[in-house]
Amino acid sequence: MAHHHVPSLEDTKTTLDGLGGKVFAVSAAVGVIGLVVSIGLGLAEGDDLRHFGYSYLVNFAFFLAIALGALFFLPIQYVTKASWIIVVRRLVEVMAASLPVLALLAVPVVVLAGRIYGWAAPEAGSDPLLAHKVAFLSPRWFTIRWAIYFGLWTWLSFTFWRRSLAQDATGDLRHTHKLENFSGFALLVYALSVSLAGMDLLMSVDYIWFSTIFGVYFWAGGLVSFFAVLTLVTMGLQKTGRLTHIVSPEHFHDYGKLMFAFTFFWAYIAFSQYMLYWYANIPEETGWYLLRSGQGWGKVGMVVLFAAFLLPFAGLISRYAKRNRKMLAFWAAWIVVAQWINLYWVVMPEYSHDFVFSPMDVTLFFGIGGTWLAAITRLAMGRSLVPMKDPRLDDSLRFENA
Amino acid sequence: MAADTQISGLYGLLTEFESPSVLVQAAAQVRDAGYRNWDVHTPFPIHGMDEAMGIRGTQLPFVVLAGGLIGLGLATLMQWWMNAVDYPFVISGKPLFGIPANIPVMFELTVLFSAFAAFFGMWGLNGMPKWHHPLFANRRFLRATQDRFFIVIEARDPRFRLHETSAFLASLGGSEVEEVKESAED
Amino acid sequence: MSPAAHDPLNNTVDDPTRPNALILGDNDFTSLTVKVSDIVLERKTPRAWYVAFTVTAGLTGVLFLMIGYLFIKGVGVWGLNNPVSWGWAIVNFVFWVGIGHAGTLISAILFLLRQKWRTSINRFAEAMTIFAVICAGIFPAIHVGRIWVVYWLFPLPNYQAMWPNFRSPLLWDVFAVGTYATVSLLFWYTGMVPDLATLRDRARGRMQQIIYGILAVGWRGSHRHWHRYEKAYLILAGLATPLVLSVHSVVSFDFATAQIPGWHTTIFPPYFVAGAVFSGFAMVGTLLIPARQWFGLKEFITLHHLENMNKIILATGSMVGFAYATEFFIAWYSGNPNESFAFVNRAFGPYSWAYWIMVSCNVITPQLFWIKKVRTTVPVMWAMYIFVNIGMWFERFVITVTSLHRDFLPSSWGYYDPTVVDILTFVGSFGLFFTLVLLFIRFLPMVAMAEVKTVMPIADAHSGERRAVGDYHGDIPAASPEGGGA
Repeated sequence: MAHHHVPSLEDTKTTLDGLGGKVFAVSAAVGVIGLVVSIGLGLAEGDDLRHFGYSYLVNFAFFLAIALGALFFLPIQYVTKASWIIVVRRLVEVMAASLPVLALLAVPVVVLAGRIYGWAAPEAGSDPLLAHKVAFLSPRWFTIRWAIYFGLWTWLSFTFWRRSLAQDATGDLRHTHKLENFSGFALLVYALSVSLAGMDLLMSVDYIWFSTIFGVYFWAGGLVSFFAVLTLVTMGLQKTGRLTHIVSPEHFHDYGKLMFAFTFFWAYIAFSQYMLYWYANIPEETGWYLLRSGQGWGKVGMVVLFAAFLLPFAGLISRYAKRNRKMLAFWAAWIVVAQWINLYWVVMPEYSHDFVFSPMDVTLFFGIGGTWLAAITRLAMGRSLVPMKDPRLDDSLRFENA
Repeated sequence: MAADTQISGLYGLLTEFESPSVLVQAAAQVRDAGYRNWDVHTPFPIHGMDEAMGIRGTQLPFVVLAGGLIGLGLATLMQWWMNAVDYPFVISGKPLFGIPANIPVMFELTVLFSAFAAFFGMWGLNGMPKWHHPLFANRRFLRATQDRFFIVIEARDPRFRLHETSAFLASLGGSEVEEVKESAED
Repeated sequence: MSPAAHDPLNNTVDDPTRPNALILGDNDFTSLTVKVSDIVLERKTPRAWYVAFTVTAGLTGVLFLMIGYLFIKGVGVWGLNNPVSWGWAIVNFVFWVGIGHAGTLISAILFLLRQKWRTSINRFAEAMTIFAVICAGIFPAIHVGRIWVVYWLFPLPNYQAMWPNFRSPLLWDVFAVGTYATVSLLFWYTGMVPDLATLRDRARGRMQQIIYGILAVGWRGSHRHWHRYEKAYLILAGLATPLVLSVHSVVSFDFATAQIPGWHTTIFPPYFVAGAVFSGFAMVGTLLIPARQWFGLKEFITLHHLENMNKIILATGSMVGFAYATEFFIAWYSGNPNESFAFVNRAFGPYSWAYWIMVSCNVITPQLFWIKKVRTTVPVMWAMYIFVNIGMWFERFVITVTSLHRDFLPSSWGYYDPTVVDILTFVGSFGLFFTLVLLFIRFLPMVAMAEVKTVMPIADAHSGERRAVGDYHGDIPAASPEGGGA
């Protein structure tokens, strides 16, 4: 008879303490070296950083989507009054609060826009189709919109971050109330800004092509990667003896369900977009897919189909897989890679109609990823990794899948 | 086997509880006493009862998986054979067998057959429909679907001994133990 | 203290330290069983029921008269004309299928999301799903023109050795709606069996005992049965969740695969699903509010339940508004003049009246649910539901008719007016729907008793302790996820 008492925060370590400094130093070093090496590689191409720009866009979009996934998951928890997740909510808050750092990392995209986006290229002006949308697709408006997006996202993420920290100190219930009321509004702002930002960032690389669902497609893919990263981060912390006992297989089971469900959702959105354009077969719409299904990119597309949907779907369908730590870690890592390949497939064919892959794609992954990891580590340092005075924390600790 | 297990016409012994919390503890005791042919009857599923009774996982997910794969296979073959082989015709420039256009029906039939497998599989594994059962003759047992909780140990259990089992059941904290007859005459 | 705190039937107080009670009053398993099953077994059928039934049965008669007239005369009795070859029949089909989606959302998706409050309303909502899908299924079937060969829709061998065209979204619809109706029925019935057994065991009339006995298939609450039953329920929920996504997506494909401006847009699938859930919740609310009032179910279907539903209406209504905005933006952004024209024509063309009804009912009305007072005042929310029902019907009307009536060739532009037959058929379908709802209320348990019992506080076998009885077979790993080296 194993009388399991509800685990308490005393059972485990809930701060980064010594580890924080180390992770920060290493990831910051990886980030800086990655970025510097990438610039070197980019300059060595001798194309005025054009290839670098595309490669940067892939990796920036990837990490931005993850942080935006976190920014979605926070208000969702508050509006649904979900309690199971509270024990790891601080990790989500940290990831969302990294958005101002991603704003800094967005600067190269804005600066290099002329090399990435056809509409921003100096020679683009004569196209009548572009003339039609110049009120939207112009370097000035692009810059202003990104300033607005990051302004909104910073405001949203810091509202959650600050109030949650404040509650750590006082346990004041008013913070929960405020955030519950704030969250509905936050989701509205989020939906409008993220959808438009997805179109700005990735869809407008081909300024002729359009798809009403594209913002949802960008968002859904990011959400899948976010759940995968959250799983990996939680597991990583547990490996160092942090958050053990209090984050149980029950919580991991739910991580697994979320990865599974949103993998399916992402595929549903991807299919809707693809099938409708395939079916209607209108040149201005199918061009985008035509480019991505020939000359080497078609094979990448197949890799995306299998790696980002069919395999993780089959792999995560059983309860056993979701509750098995090693399998869950495997699929989380797999999903991160698969979603990255998906973004690569979305962006890179616009750089080169033939398949390309360069070391820069990897060094930029570590450059941006390292910087981002350093940022979230820095935010988490010196603070509790658990929102310890949240009124529903106890429910989260005793959570069990029925 | 002791003679009293062969009491003719006895289906088993029944005891009644008023609350689920006592019931779970009682069920765990029956489990630990080593009985096999016994059951708990409740108006709603009790959380934690699977462990208390020692019930292992069910085969149902595999039945459903098989159903789903059959549905998927059938949908694929049907669409291919009907539109690309037996009665081929070109319409709106679509390939005779173009996967994007065939996915919706593949998906629907996968779900349909999985659902049939889950539905019929569950009732089949549960041995239902079964409109006649010795327990239905017991007046008190009418409340098993309403507001009372029962433990029933069947007479065919190898460990069943009328007096010992009866005393054991009585010790679990329920109401008085009652005999349930095999046939519904009395 | 706010006045709300003194109302024993108000459980919409936001207190993060304590979830709101899902069941009010001094209820236990016994009283819940009695109150719900007596509606069916003991209580005298109210006179109002007979009055309502007479009216709805009469309207159902009108529906079948209209269908008969249609069969005899042909689809010319409808208002269809040359540019507008799809009219009210399709509008009504999409409207009714959409209504159904709330039931599946409540029964399946909220189940997977562990939203316990669903237990009070899921039976009702699922019943409504099935009745709505029945009403929906009528319209495409009677729309085929040559009704005597309607079986051509199915892949059945026939004397011409023809097979259906599986590349047509209309055929996908046959499979999607057929699967949806079947799975919803299985799910509904599975959920109802334990309650049918309750009715069987409480029934005093011989006829009732026999009928509920047959329907209950010998259910006796065995935990060995519950074990598989719960697994099957979970699996059915897991299947119904993507299914409900697929059904209205496939319905949207009927429009979106075409090249018609205003129809061919990639956001249609998720936008249709959101709209369906939106309209469905409004219909659940429309029916639930009188039902809880007249049958004394306010303790089980509480204000908290209604408030949650209103929040979902707000969320899905906002999604619909978001989709309208996105469509408009991309219609401009695409630079396709036909696409921009279709949208400008919607808002300012001959059908602008319909468009603005749609926008005010679907976009503006649900936004009032931001206000807590509106979310928790019964007559006000009921009025909102009616607006949403109207708005969502008009949405389908706007999509169908405005995109068709002015197509690529201005010389063929026209205007569509429904005929009396169109109108009476639609009104008649409401008759059928409400007739089925009334029969359900009278003969089947309106609240899922067994499920509600699981969320009553007294149902918790071991509050405060995890797995009080220990791991018997080691199915679940020990509670501590060992950090190091795992």
